[in-house]
Amino acid sequence: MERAERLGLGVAVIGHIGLFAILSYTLIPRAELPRREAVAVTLSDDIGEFATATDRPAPASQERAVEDDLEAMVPEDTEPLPQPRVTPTPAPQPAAERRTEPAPRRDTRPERRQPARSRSSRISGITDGIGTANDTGTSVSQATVSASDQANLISRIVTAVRPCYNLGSLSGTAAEDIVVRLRIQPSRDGSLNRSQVTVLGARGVNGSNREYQRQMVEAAQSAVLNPRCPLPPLPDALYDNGWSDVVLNFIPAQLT
Amino acid sequence: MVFRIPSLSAFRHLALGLCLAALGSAAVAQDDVSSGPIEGDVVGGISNPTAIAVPDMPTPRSVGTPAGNTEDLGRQVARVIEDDLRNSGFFDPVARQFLRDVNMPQVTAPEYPAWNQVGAQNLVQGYVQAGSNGRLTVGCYLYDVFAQAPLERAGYEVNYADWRRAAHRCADMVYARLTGEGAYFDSRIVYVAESGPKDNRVRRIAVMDTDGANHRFLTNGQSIVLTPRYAPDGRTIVYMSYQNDEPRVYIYDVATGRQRLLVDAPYMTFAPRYSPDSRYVVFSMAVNGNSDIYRVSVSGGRPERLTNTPGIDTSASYSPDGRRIVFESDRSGGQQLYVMNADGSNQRRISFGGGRYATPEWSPRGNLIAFTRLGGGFRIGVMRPDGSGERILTNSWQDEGPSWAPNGRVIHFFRTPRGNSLPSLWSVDVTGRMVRRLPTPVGASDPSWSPLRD
Repeated sequence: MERAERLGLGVAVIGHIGLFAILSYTLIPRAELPRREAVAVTLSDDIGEFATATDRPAPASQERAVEDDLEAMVPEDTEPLPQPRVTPTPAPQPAAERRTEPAPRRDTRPERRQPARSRSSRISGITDGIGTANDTGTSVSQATVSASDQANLISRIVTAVRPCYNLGSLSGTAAEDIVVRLRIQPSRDGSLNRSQVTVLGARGVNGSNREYQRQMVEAAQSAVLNPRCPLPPLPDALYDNGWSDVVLNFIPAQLT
Repeated sequence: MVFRIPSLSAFRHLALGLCLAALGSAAVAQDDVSSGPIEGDVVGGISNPTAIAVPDMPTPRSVGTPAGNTEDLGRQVARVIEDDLRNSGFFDPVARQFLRDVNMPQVTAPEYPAWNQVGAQNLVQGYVQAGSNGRLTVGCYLYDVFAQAPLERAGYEVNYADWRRAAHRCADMVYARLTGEGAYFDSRIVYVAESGPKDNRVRRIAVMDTDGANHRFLTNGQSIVLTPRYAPDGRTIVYMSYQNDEPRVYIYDVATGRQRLLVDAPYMTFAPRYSPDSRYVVFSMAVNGNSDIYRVSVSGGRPERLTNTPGIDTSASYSPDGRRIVFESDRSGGQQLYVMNADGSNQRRISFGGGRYATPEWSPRGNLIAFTRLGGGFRIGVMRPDGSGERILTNSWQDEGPSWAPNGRVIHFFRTPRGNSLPSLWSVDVTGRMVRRLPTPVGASDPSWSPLRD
């Protein structure tokens, strides 16, 4: 073995040891940051169930209102929407009272529901004994959801939601550069209302499409709230740590 | 000294081993941990009209008015709103047999589950009320059915005869809120109404609402008229007429019905258009066989010459800020589009595709120029003011004369079929996806959109 070969081999060995040390360090357990990258989606009909208990707290319930998110996202320099020049003359109560101020919502925002104890009949029996929650909604015993489970969950959710992601008048415009990020926190029975949908943000907004930002957010919200596209039956065992808290990025780039 | 490759080979094996180790450890890490929300991408979507319900509007008290009973008006207002939204191409109104009766309290407190059941994503409700001041009030409320939330509301007080305007304005509010675009339903269209055989055609200037209602002829057809254009303030219309067999530009006062000659000169004047502030008119004037573009005050006076090249310079159109003008010229051989400053300086060609380009009109948004492209037929297209991003929007035998809607999203043009058939008015969305024929009582050409009405 020549000197150059020995030198090279030595360097390789040292490098190997160094990298092994680095990789070993990465395996040391520590607190994980919430995932931010998209999970690769694999279509599958089978979703596994893991009984490994952890003490990870359940997703915190949020009282954030979609309307508040929308308000916060409307840029200050957005032109005001057309306002009536004439205030309607009073109509019979209660309409007359409501026209003097922004119309009150008939449906006062419901408090975010605690996850239901009962499970979907379609999957009952699969996950008995997993994910028991205490009164505060914090799990005392929850299953870990593997990456493949996550991918399968996401795949099924996306498949259900996508047919209702309707851009309508926004398609073919500069609005298609806007990617909306939504967080949904469905109830355990699979239901979802607007108080369980949070707008995390929108990217790709620029001077040419700023006027469409509000509508793009609402298109994403409508996709998850459309009763024609409900969440599919998902395993109760994978609710905590799994589909109880989902972030969806709505990317309009590939209209069909 | 010679370097030998085997050392590199050793590195390769090491690198491969390390990569495998890294992949293995990553797999272990992924399978072990799940924390925070799971995340995925919804890539792509659909582009369908939005399902919207527009039930009849109730009235607090049935009152007879010159325009009809308020109960009937409530029904008719809902129909006009529904038609406007449907004709935009972006909305799919729920069929009337599935609509529910709405009473006054429900106007501000919709029954969301019921509307959800009929498949409506949005809901437009309102009421019609006759006021003690002899005017009609239309309340207009827009709701998001899926989110079970109000989105917008507005009220309009109009003279009884103008009840359709209240409906158009309600439709405008809905359209603007749900699309992010500007309004355009409450505007008018001026065009050349054509009737009779091709060799003896009668051409009259006519105006109508955007939905074809309230149609009215402004000229009697004794003289051929061409290229009527609304002033940005909506008060006057400038056009070219062959009155007394002398083709000249005239201004028509909408309120008084009077017309007057714009430029008193012994030359043919044609292709007029207003400046954005309605103070000037740009037009073409043919002097000694050479047509150039001029500018003159709407009150008349001495025209200011803006172009000075051999050939025909015509079809001038201002940018919305009034600082530039796009026009067509055959100075390079065939008709092409050029842009210049409003004082005539810095003239430069912007169209370089195959064929010829004509009748440009600058978008009210300023971002696009619509034009007629000639060659293998006539097509409507758009391009950016620097000539880039050209897109052809229509594909028929003869489409020409584009005119922008006030919101810069929709373009009107006229289509002439092969043979002796009369032309007709059409509209196309700027994406090229929505093409629709506009109803006119007779043949129609040369449309021009009015500004949004006050």
